[in-house]
Amino acid sequence: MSARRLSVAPAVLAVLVGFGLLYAWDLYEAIANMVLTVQQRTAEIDAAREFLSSTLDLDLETADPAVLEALGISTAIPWSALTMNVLAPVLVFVVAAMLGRRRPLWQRALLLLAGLAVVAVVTLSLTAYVRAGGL
Amino acid sequence: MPDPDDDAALSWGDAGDPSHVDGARPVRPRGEASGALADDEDGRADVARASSAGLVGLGILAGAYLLYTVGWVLSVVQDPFTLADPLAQVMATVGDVLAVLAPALWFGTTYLLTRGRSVARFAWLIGGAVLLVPWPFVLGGLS
Repeated sequence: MSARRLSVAPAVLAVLVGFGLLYAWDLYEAIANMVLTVQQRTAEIDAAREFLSSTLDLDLETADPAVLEALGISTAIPWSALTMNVLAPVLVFVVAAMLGRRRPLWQRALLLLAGLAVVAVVTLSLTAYVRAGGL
Repeated sequence: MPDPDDDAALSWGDAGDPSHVDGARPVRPRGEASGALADDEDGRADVARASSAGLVGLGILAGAYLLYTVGWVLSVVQDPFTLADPLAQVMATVGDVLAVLAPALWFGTTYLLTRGRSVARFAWLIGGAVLLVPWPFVLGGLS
């Protein structure tokens, strides 16, 4: 890779870094959300395991799924939604930055802004998907 | 017996008619401006036909994007939230605003950045129509 390809105009760099920080916030939120969700679900699953063994003498791992469903106990963690939520800011930033190469500064900024809106949409859609019972 | 002049209102007249106004010349997309089409008359007809079909498609997609915007407004209004961290609260509110603006931003960006490349334009617009479906509204409406 030559030095020429690596050189970036200061204004372009400022736009990339400025928007990059906003994308980084989305990434941070997504990671925090993943950690908190997993912690919360793990605690709920542990509580359910405790409840099953103490009151019904059942083992969570070997219990009949129908019984668990009737009790409203789910051991599922929405990994795919959590993972997509973490990947979205990274992927969208890369795509928006690549599409903006060799374009005027305002077009680069517009692409990055539109990308930020896409990340917001993806996050809200994934949240709704999980709330509706998706994993 | 009607006045013969009444019939004049029912005909288009011709180019010699003093009230005749020529339609706007179709503007050739930038990418084709180099004169790849030798026959000017045929070329113009092609572009005119393509752009009228394109306009209908663009209109349908614009309508879908407009509906998406409404869907996102309703999604965001349905789900008020309060977060303990003020920064998180501000950023989440910005996210809601961006989600509402997303269809307009996608459409506008695609439109501006794909001038003269109608295949790319429609590919990106259809891609956006898949990606930007207001799921919170769609799923919320079911429950």
